[in-house]
Amino acid sequence: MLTWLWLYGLLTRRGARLAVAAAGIALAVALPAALGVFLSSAKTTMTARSVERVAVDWQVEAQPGASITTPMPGTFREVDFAAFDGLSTPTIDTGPGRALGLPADYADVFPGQTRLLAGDATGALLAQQTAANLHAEPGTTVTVHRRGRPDAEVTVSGVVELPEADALFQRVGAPAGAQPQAPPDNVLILPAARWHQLFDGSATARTQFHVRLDHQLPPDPADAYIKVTGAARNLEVRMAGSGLVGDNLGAALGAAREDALYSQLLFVFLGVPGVVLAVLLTASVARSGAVRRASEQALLRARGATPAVFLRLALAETLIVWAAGTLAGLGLAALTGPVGGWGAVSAALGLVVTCATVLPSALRPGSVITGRAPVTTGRPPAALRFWLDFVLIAAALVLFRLTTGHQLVLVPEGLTQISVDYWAFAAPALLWAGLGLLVWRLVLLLVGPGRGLLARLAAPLAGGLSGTVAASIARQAGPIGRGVTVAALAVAFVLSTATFNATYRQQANVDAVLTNGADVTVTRTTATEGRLAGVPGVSAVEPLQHGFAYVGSDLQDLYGLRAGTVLSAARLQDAYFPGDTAAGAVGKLAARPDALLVSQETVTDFQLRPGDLVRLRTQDGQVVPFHYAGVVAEFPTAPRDSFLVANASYLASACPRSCGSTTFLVSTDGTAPHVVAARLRDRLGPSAGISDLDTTRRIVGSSLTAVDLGGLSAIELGYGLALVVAATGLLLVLGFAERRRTFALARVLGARPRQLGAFIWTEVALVGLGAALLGTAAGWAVARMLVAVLTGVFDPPPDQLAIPWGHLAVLAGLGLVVLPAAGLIALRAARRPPLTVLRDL
Amino acid sequence: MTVVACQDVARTYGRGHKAVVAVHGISCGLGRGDHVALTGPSGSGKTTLLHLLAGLDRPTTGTIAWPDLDDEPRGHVGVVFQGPSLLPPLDAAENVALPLLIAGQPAADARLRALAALDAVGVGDLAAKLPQELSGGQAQRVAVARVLAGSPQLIIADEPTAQLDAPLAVRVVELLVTVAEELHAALVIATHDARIAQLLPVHWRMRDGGLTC
Amino acid sequence: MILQAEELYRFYRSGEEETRALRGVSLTAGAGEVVAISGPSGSGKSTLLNCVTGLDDPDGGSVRIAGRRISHLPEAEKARLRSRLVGVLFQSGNLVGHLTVARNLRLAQALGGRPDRAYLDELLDRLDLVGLRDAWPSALSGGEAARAGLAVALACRPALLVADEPTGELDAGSEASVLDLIRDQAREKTAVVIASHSAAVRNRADRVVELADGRLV
Repeated sequence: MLTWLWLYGLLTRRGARLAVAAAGIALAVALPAALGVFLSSAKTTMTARSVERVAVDWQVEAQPGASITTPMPGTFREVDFAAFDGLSTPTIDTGPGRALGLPADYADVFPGQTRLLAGDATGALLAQQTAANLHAEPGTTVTVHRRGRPDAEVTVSGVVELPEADALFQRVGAPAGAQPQAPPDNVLILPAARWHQLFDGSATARTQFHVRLDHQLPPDPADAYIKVTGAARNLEVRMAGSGLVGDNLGAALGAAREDALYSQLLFVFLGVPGVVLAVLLTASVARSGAVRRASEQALLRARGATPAVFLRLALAETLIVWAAGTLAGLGLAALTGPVGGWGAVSAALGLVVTCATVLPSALRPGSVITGRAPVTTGRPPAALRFWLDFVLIAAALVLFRLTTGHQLVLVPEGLTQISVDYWAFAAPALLWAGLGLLVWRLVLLLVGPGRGLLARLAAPLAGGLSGTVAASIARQAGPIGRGVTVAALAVAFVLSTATFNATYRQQANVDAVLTNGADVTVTRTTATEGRLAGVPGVSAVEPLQHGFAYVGSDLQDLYGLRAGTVLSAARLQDAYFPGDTAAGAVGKLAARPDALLVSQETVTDFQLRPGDLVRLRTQDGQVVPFHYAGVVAEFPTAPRDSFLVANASYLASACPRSCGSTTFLVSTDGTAPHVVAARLRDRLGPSAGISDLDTTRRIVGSSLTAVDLGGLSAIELGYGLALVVAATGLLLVLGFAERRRTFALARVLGARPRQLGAFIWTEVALVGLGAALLGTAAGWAVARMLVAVLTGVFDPPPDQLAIPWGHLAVLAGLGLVVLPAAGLIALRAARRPPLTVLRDL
Repeated sequence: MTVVACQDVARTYGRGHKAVVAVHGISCGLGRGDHVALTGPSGSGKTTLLHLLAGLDRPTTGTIAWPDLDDEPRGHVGVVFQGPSLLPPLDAAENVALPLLIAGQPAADARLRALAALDAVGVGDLAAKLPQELSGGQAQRVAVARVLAGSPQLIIADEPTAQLDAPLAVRVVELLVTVAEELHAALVIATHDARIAQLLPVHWRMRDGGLTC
Repeated sequence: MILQAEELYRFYRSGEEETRALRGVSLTAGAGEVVAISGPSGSGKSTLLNCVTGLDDPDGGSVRIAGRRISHLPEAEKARLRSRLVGVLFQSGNLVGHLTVARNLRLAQALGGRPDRAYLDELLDRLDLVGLRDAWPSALSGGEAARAGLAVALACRPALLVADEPTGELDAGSEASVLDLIRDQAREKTAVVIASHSAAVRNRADRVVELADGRLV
């Protein structure tokens, strides 16, 4: 009864204030819920992508001399392997390779394993490289040199690509960390019956079961990993040594779970400050109106309200605010996806936050009726008196030093669990808190001891009243200090998040460019440069030779470029060439036809000095002399760390046949790369390898990149901007409402609207500039530390932070709307007849 | 020598059937040196009339003129009212100096005059105190000093003694009268206390928005 | 006797300074009696009222209301006694701003644990507040607010009505009518203690007690 009466009154007459508090709670609830939803969906996507990426989940290989009788799970097919000594056509011979026997429906069951490039799949198939070596095409008859048996002949019916050759030819049961085995140079695929005719009983014959599991996996990659690897070990145990499992799916999920942990780290890093801010904001809102609250409580006490009654009323108010805030917050979060369990967690968090912010101010006992606005004259807050700001910042720097270079995500050998070094969080968290306190100190310094300076700064706005305005602000140091601090922290939050996300995007782009080499990359084509250039949307085409060569016994990728034009088409970055620029390195190639760029590792291994002679041996044994000219660390499309770069014209003349194929780097005229790629695909047919930057950006690197921070950053920034608006506009308006008496009195004393404006605009400017300048500085510092701590999510690590100009502009624009709006609202309120206002107060 | 003159003034709040007539049919005038007590029950329109006289509000119909003030009352009217009439964030001297600064005086001059005015009403030692540190009587004295410092030609006081003990109230009103005499200003004090009203020579009574002089 | 306050002492300390607000004050009030306490600012009137209503505990002495001790009890106990036995009327701010007049009365009754619609209607009628039942406090004139405050103070039929400058902001006409209403209430066997410096209050009291420097004069 009592409680309902009270609540009814609050809802009808103090609805706006409750709504504002509830909005703060809504923010505190919405962020973790939305991030949680995002995180869950990101993890689900990671699991799904891992499954998609794997052509064959398990390759179960029978051990020599044993045969597997244990039933396989899921869908499976038997695949047979055997080695041969060579293949030949009447004119050409190639070296040794492997022959596979596949059942007729293999391609239907495992569609990712083979890709038919030419002919049909009914008979013997050659891998693309093998076909190229033999100059074979469908219909060609090839002789197979079997090991220890007579030669046999097969007629080629088609040519295929084996995209997952590494996994297909893996050494099943190889110890973890062993060097991966390179796939064979020559591959012949036979129908199962034909394989058995040719290779049954061969000493090199091996049998594998290729298994596709049912993909009912837990959404979290870590759980899925545990389930899949567990099942694999279980199968091995049941096979009792007769077979081993090559767990391709487990390996993919193992990589994905690391990425999942990183995304969880991001969630914490980016989410926690937002929640803390919402708490601060709600607390500030709850604090305003303290005077009226105190007098109401004094009145209730005089009417005989017991402490239990106060508690009940306070709890009722708290619960109303919580319920409204939580519903609104979850509603917001539901825009990003189904909230589910994260909703419950966030609601619980919201309850804690509401109790911490609304309850204390609703409970503060009032013993006397105080009718006066609180004026601060007292000492600075305890946290500042004990120099907590400097202590926190120093601690943050020390911790940062200690934890830099630590692996954030730990993958212990031989354990299925991976863990996160949560200590790394401490440094940015402490820095953030310390900077917040430092901002507070600076604001208090400016409005307190720095009053003279403030008065001079206020002079352009306040004229002769500047001293009075400064004095008035100085006596409101408490609320103004808190307001500026919360606003600055909100700005810092937006900026650090935006900077982090922008840097992340920048690096993802760098990674994609590095992998793809250009906007669109075309391989395995016989088309000419001119034909490609004729496709709409193409602005430039640059041919790049690619082959292999031995440096000593080490087989490395060898690239040949056209020094005259490469800079205009390929996206070469200075960072690719340590100690040099892209132009400088290309210039060295241009200066000498047989110049060679090699990796740092090669330089060290062979003690090279500029000008030294380097002899490379091509795959067919030809030796070509080069001269060492410089170091290259990264190169477009280069997959490994060690590779060689030379002049294409020199390669063409030195080894016309065996120095590889031509890759075309295609630049677009601004048309989206994937559009141009589609056109090229139409023009060149299915056998050409065409990849574009858009697609590469989605699939390269980790699945974390693939998930794309876009969604996360939209949530973060929408939320951050809402916080900035609330922190600046709302706190200002509430602060002005508390000082209606001051403004009414000033009007009675003859102040014109312009002079009232001096009070209002000075404060608006103080909050706006303080938040902008201090917030930007703090945001920059936090962003730097965040990027440094989270280096692990960047590939490659960034040289410099990307500045989020777009967000800066939005933030500035928002400030230019919200701050004047707050001032105008206050000015309008100050227009009411002043004596009436004074009577009401 | 007319400071303010009202001609058939009325002020209505709101519109249509919700309109409330706060004052109506008021014609009156104040010359320099006039001291008037404005009495009447609460809700009779005293505050509205004071708003109009001070130029803080405009009449709905009728005219108000301030011939001696060049029809610009702003800055020439000193106001004291009930309850705390000082700006909470400013100390006593800053409060007293505020109307001078608003009128455009240089800060240093304003401060000197403020300190002199505080001395003149006997609270010079409170110059650096904040309003929350002052008692009710002290606060009203500072408010009177603020009026004095502004050298207004019209002084308006709305229930200046409502929260003061009787002896203190009398002293505050006497102080106002002294200041008004010193400035040769017109003085209007709205009060419901008959003993306070007795201290002034002229009585205006308000009833239901009308005025009898 | 409804109110028996004996030998009340109350000291405040702030830093070095000690203020002796009450120095051995005794005060009684019987059913139907109106006692006025007068004295200059700072004489201890408010402190005395705070002790009498149990909002504050005296450092020495005791307070009994209707035979039950209210001083030196746990806060919850004091609050419960206060809600049933004492009605408090302040100079202003007697109403909760976010509740209408009638709901303010219902709130007071709920606090005292005595919902009584019939008496509530009777009070509104007697204090001429029927037309203001659903008015918000901010819309009331001074006199109306004082009458509404009195209604709230009386909502639980208190044995003792304590008023602190109840007419400080009222014009003479409103003051007289409020005082008459308080007098009427005293006839209903309520003891009334009013602190005021108004002559009108003193004239209508059965007994006037002068307080100066924390002592009875």
